[in-house]
Amino acid sequence: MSDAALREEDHTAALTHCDGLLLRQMTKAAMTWLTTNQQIVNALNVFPVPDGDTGTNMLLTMQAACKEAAEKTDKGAGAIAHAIAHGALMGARGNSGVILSQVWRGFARALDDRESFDGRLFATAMREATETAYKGVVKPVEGTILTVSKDVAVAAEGAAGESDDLRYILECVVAAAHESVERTPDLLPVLKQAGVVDSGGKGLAIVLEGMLRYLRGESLDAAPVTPIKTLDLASIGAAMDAVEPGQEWEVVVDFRPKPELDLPYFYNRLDSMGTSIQVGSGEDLYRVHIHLVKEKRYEPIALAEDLGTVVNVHMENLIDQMEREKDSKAPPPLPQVKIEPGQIAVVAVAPGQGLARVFASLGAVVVSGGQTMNPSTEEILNAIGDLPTHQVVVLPNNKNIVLAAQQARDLSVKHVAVVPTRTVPQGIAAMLALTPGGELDAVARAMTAAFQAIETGEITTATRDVELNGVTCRAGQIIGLHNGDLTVAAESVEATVLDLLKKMRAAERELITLYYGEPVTAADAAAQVEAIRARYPDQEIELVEGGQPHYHYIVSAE
Amino acid sequence: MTIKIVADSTADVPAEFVALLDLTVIPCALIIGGRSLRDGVDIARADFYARLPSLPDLPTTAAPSAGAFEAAYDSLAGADHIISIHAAAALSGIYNAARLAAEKYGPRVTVIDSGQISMGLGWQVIVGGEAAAAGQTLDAVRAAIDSVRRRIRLYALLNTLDYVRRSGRVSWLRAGLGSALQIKPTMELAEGQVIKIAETRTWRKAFAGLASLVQSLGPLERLAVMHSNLASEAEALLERLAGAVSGEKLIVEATTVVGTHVGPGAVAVAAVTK
Repeated sequence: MSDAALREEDHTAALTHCDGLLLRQMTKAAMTWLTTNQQIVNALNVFPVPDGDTGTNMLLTMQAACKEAAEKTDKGAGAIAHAIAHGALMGARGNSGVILSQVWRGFARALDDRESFDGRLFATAMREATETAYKGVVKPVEGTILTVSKDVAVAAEGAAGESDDLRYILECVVAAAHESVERTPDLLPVLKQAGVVDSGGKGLAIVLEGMLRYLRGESLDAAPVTPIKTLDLASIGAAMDAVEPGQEWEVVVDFRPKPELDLPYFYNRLDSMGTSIQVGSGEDLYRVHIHLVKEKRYEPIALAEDLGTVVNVHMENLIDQMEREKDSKAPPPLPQVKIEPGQIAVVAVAPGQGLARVFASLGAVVVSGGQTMNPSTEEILNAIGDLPTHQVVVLPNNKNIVLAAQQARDLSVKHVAVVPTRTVPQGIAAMLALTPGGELDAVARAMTAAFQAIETGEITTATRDVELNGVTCRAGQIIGLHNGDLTVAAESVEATVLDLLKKMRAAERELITLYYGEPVTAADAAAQVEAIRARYPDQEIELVEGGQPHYHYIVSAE
Repeated sequence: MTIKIVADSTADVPAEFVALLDLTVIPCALIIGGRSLRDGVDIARADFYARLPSLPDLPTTAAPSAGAFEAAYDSLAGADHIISIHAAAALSGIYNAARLAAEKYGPRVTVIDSGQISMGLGWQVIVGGEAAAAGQTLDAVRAAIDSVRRRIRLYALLNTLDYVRRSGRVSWLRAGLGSALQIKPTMELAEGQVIKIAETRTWRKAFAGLASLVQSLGPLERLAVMHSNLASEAEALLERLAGAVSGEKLIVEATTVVGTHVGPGAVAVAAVTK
């Protein structure tokens, strides 16, 4: 059944069975709807930091799921569900992505090899999905995506008892999901404190809602709930760094619509042309940013001319630009340790070239990613698989990568231990405790003990206003996190670093290490070192280029 | 029967033992800025360590020539037998130069690869010298050397990996490993192989680790603490370990040829277990 065919259908007639083709379409719709609402989910971070965006992570997980389902020739619901589950499993990124993959896994298991499912089986599958998701987490926490999945299963069972119409059941499920999301702050105090609902739960609700919208024949492209972003002439475009295959032309058009812009129509037209669509508005001016294939690069300009007056056009060949950048600053190759079969090797996740170099120089194999781009389970699994030894330790170095690392461990045929480091300095401390010739479990214990002794500080820019742990910060302010908790907020980076060092009791430590990131120049970093030296004359201070995005500094005291 | 012991300057044997046991020590060469200096003869250690960090090029070292060994063996014509003990063949060409020189003397000269350097070698030289001075037989002297050789543990704590990396003598340090961060490495030398014991970010923690590592060896027969321009830390370490030692306790400033490869600010321990 094609997308168009279903849209032509009567969306009010009862739908009693769902086959593999329909499930695949619904899943694709869920992904599209999540794409539309990605930024809403991303904005629900407890900490006001540009970290592990839940919406992006869940979307990438769903993309991997849809890709695998699209390649499946079998038309049975069970077979398609298994393909979705496997794709999600391998593509899982971030903690919410991992849990979402477990939801799919349970769902697929319940469907087994059925050709289709009815309302009762759907309810059973949602129950199984919830149970699998709970089992996928060592210490389940209520007020998260887990709670939402549990409430969804209850709603599905209730609705299936009332009706055999899948559309009705899904309506009940989506309503229950949204209500459950709204209750998450009552169950998880940190959400209430931060004034947000749980992001993973919200993502799950959006996934289910996307499926329902498909069954109802509702639009998925427009983003009626997304507020148009304020026009920011500098940031639009700069934020888009991913180039989809073939979409090598970036076009930015500024125009004044006349009469008023019909946004859903505008989005629909843009969506048929290209990808990475962003629309911003300010005063009476609109700016559209889009990636297109070469042949279509003039179409957005023509569209804008149809709708009003074009003020400015910017056009750029992204592939060419990226190639030039790659040529001009190709980093020297990372050092590589020789790993003997039987020895313990380490896979470390590192955000930024400089930190990758640090981990590689200590003998680790590096998977890039971290702060905003979390690596998928598959990327970690591949890094484990590529090593010429069967004993591997994984260092996630970020709290949002721990679950994906554990999932990779469970999937690997090798003997893998995850040492759950949540920060880069913790990962470095663990790395130094590595004994390649030791026994894996004992080595993992020693590495775990080693990282717990380290103090970590992180300095970044607040992404929104929040009051947390008694600290009040405004969006755009500089904030400092001590061992992952918001601790200080100030106007300048320099003051934040000094405040944070005080909280880290640096005066009682021997060595202060400063890893400077992308937002900071080498000269700024050197000046920062002088400021620290003036305050801490007895401590050794080491400055290392980290290259991490978004974070001015990562600091350790030991 | 007279047996004489020949060593090289990397053994770090203190001058009083050289005199007391009538040892022959052949100096290695230290080449600084194109000038060849005899280790321990032409350049004072204190002066060397003061200059080392600011030298534009790292000094290089060279084994004594086979001719230097021949001259030494010739000068000991009165001895019935010569035992020539040298730095680990895996780390240096000294043993090979001695072995080539010894060929023409036949069984009268025995050349031994100590598998060690500094006082790890030095204790073997001293124990051999003591047995020889006591008039023991060749077999007994060799057995005494073998026995101490098996019981020696040599650990070093370096202030930086830079010098040992540039020396090119530690295979696992090649290709930029350990180059991105400050690391205080603790290493063991055993049978000429440099083994990584620990990598630590701070000196105090590494120092405490080294002390407890030596303490874990149990009661000791002899102990030498070596250092490169870091006497105060060496004294502190010896004081901490002294209780476990029944025999000699020495503090030795490492010779320039060894210091070139470990860099200033290192401490090391050569312990003879019971």
